[in-house]
Amino acid sequence: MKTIFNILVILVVAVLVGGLFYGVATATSSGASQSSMSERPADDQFSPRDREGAGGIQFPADSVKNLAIISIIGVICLNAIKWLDRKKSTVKVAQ
Amino acid sequence: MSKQNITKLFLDLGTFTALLIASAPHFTGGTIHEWLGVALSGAIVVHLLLNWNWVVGITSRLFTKVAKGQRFNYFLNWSLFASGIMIVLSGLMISKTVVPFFGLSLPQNMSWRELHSLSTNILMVLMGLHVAVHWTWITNMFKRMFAPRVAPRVAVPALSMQRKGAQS
Repeated sequence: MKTIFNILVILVVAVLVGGLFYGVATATSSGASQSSMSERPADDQFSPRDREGAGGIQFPADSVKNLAIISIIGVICLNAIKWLDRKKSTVKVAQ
Repeated sequence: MSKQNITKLFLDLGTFTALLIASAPHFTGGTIHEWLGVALSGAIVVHLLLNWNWVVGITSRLFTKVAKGQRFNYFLNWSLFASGIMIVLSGLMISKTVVPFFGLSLPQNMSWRELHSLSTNILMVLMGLHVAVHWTWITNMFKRMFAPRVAPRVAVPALSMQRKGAQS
């Protein structure tokens, strides 16, 4: 029962945040001029690159790119945390 | 190592791997990409449920006595949650499989597609920070999991005493 309540809380918060985003996104896009390239014709498909089965199995370049982004950010952040910890300890020792 | 921690670790590893796979729609194809995205949102709900006590604990004392690191982590997690919702929302708005599967049709708009890729990029940066913040926990879990199990030393003297007693 408690778990169901927790799930409901998560879903309600998700709907609220999603609704907020939807409102902002639609307000922004309706405010922009209709002649812009944001509107897609009904018969238009995504670019040929997006079509399924275009060229068999492809190299998961996007996954590798995203893993690289996560790794680089992670390493930078870890080093920053370590540096901050070292700085804190040296300040304590100095005091 | 508690059972819940093992569940958390494997769920997180699975979610992370699925996220990387889902982030390559040209590799998986549109159908797998969309259904995997839906499954990932379910995994995020389970992830939140498993860490519910932490969420409630920090929320209740956010503006009183929380360490700076915890507060940063809290807002980082909120940002991750928000960007995840943005990805799901924009993904549903440009869906070609999941939404039609339920007999619905949504107006097509390219700005949702741009938002989808933008929020994905933001999520990847935030995910890097999230992994970095929890890196110590992750490495500790693996160390404990693969560390050789040593028999408790306390039992040895007691056994030797018993043997001595039996011999005399």
